[in-house]
Amino acid sequence: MPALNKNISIFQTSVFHINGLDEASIWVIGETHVAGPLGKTLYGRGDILAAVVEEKKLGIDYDNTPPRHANIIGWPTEKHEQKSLAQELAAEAKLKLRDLV
Amino acid sequence: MVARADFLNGFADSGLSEDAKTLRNLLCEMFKPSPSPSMGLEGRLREALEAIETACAEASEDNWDGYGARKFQPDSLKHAKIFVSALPRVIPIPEVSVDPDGEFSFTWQRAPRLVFSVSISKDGVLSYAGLFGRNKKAHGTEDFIQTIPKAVTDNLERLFSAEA
Repeated sequence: MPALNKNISIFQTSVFHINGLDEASIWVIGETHVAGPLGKTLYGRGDILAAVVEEKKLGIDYDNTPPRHANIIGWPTEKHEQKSLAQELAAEAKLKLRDLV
Repeated sequence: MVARADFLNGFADSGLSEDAKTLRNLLCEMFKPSPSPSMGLEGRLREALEAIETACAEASEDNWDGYGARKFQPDSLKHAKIFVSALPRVIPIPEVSVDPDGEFSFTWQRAPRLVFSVSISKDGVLSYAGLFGRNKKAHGTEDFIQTIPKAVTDNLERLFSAEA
């Protein structure tokens, strides 16, 4: 589900652009910028093609803060519409589990 | 459909259509006694409330996700407990989570494209959405006043009667 960015009053979903990265580098991004700061264990991630996001009439804002960071934007404001779109994106995403051994 | 409404209300079924037969078979499977006594009505409710409690613990502070998510809304919690208590017995316990806006969310997922989810606002407004195949979806809002709205039970029936 998207979150409301109160500073700019738009709904957005934080993502990282991973094109061209190997698996190890992708997990480092997750540890460094997602799970690590929260003190949590990173178990997996969801990968989705940018083309699928754009096909659903959403946009991608590449702010690169931190490097490779982006936000999925253009979400509708009604919650039920957000849920529906989120389900469609999730259905197209691929779950990748981390090898924690 | 007569069969669906009657089963959910505990009365005898009188449906004769193919849909009614399919639903009857599905519901009979769900009515089979659980091997574990703890999964009776009390056990179900306890499990659901424990899931809500776990979600509360996860979202107990603002910014619990690192992206500015709100902590759980106390009034949404109040409605959430009543919602799970009001679910038909034949419906499995959903996954419980807290949305970034602090509302409780209940999700049933059978496959990537077979999913139904309901979020509950602090004012008792249900926002629901479901995917029932490649080009079949539903979404909308309903008021929650102690009983599960028909739009929600209809979509739950649709989810659990679909071929996975």
